[in-house]
Amino acid sequence: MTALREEVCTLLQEFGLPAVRVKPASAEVIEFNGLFSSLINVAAPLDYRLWFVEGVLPHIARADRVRWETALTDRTPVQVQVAFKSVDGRVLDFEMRSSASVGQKKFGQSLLCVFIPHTNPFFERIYAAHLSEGRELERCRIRNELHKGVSQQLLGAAFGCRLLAGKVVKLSEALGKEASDLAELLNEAVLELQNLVQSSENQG
Amino acid sequence: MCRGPWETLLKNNFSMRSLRVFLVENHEDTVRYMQLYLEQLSYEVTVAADMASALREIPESRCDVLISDIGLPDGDGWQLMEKLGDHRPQFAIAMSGYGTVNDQRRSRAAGYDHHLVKPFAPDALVALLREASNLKEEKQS
Repeated sequence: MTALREEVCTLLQEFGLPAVRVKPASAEVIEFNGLFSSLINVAAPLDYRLWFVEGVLPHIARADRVRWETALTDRTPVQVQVAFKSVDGRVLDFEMRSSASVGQKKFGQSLLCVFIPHTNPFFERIYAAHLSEGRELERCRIRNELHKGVSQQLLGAAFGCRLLAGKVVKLSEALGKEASDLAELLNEAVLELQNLVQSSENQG
Repeated sequence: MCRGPWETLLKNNFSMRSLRVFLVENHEDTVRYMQLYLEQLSYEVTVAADMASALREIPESRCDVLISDIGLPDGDGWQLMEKLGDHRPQFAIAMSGYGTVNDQRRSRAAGYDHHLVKPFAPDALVALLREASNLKEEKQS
């Protein structure tokens, strides 16, 4: 193995995802990383071309196959979906992303294919992170709405109700009592909302 | 001298009546009802909707108490206190929708005596105004 190849192999290993590098014209596998070889059932370990052409390409959807072949010829990036069986016989769905390397040397004239599993804790973690971020954004939105809208309006209403109670009591003691009770009810709602706002701030 | 309840009531009314309040708040309904309610309780109330108006009017108003919202359209209540300098009233109350420890600390550092978190009960504000009345009376005596 040449120094360049070792360097490239190291790069593939560092991906953390199954990856192969293939020749644009023949689809022959130039190299692959450990994750790729441990993923699929390798009948003939030395026949790189066989692995890729027989192990991967037949499971690409027809439309995707055309896109991949175009990408292979044109050396342009492409994203297709593939499915193949794992060593233990499970059918695994992957999103295969291929892109052409630039450069004139042997390893520069190749297509790099990386396989991103659709059902993998990696994606679940990303999904969970997005979900958590979304919840936090929603919490912030509600908190801001409380601060800028509802709490401000409720504050005005609480003072307005007290004002009204003060005026009505001069006209009728009974009505004044009712207005006063209403003011008290609003007061309780204000305190309830205040607790809600403060607890949301503590959470944030 | 021994004071009866009637004398105490008169005295309280006198001190409440003599308390001048400057209210800075840009929420139209809130400022309207707060002003009317405080006036009903015999406070003298002047209002401003933004920092620029407040800075212009507070020195002439000779107010005893400043009640200011922290979030103002052209600045904030903390800047207002800083810019007021020597014209700061003897008692100041901040109002804000935000009530974290940091917010409250910042209000104190800016010179506010109290930080009320919105929404608050009218009684909470009235209690603070009574405190301001007592403070004023103590200084006068």
